[in-house]
Amino acid sequence: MLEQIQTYLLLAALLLSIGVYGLLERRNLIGLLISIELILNGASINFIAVNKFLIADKAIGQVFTLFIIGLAAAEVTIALSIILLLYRRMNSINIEEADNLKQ
Amino acid sequence: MKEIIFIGITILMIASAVMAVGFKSILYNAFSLMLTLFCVAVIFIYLNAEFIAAMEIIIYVGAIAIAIIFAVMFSPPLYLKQPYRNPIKIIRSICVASLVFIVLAKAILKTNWPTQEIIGDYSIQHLGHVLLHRYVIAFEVFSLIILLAMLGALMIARQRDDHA
Repeated sequence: MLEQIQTYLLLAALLLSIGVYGLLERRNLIGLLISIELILNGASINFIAVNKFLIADKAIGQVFTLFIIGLAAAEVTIALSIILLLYRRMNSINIEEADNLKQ
Repeated sequence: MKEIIFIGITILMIASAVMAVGFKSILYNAFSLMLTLFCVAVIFIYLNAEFIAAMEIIIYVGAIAIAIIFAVMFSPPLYLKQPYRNPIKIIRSICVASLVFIVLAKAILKTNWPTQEIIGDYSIQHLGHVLLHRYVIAFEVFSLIILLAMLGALMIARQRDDHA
């Protein structure tokens, strides 16, 4: 079981679908951010699993994953500053109250 | 022995991921996210990527999760009554998420994965060499991206003097 690639890919798919459920269901903006982090981690596990089993040059998957981790950090920075700005306007971080563009 | 620990870590990871999206209290979600990220780092060690496991713990758990915990200050306090959760919305989200998982699982289990090459050079020296010779442009662009992210975050959240 540990020597097959399907185990790790199924684990990554499970993390991704749990993240998708959180993204669809949560109302809190921080909850959405947490779900996005779960999705990105699922993708990272996928990259490293394929790197171990299918790629000849073993550094390529690790480079990809380093970039994913760093980009997640940059994205959380911007997302948190947008949440700060939204909080100043609406005084809450419930995403269902941010409907100013709706008719 | 390795199998037993792997099964334990997998169960812990799935349980804490479900806790990270399931609980109502946002602080429980943030701490469950930290636990999930620790378990993901252990899975990276199983996949011969020890450097990535260390980086994951330092960057994700040590910086991102802590920033998220700081942002929890914006949430309404927990002693107030939480707004009503629509059960139809929960069932809809579960259906969509399980549809995504079923499609991916079918694709993974049906594929005839080619012959596996586990032996290779996983070392940090090779990783550093590849990062600075073959992917040097991506590396430099990435440092620009981090700089832009920091500047953008400061610009967006700046206190304006003309507003009340």
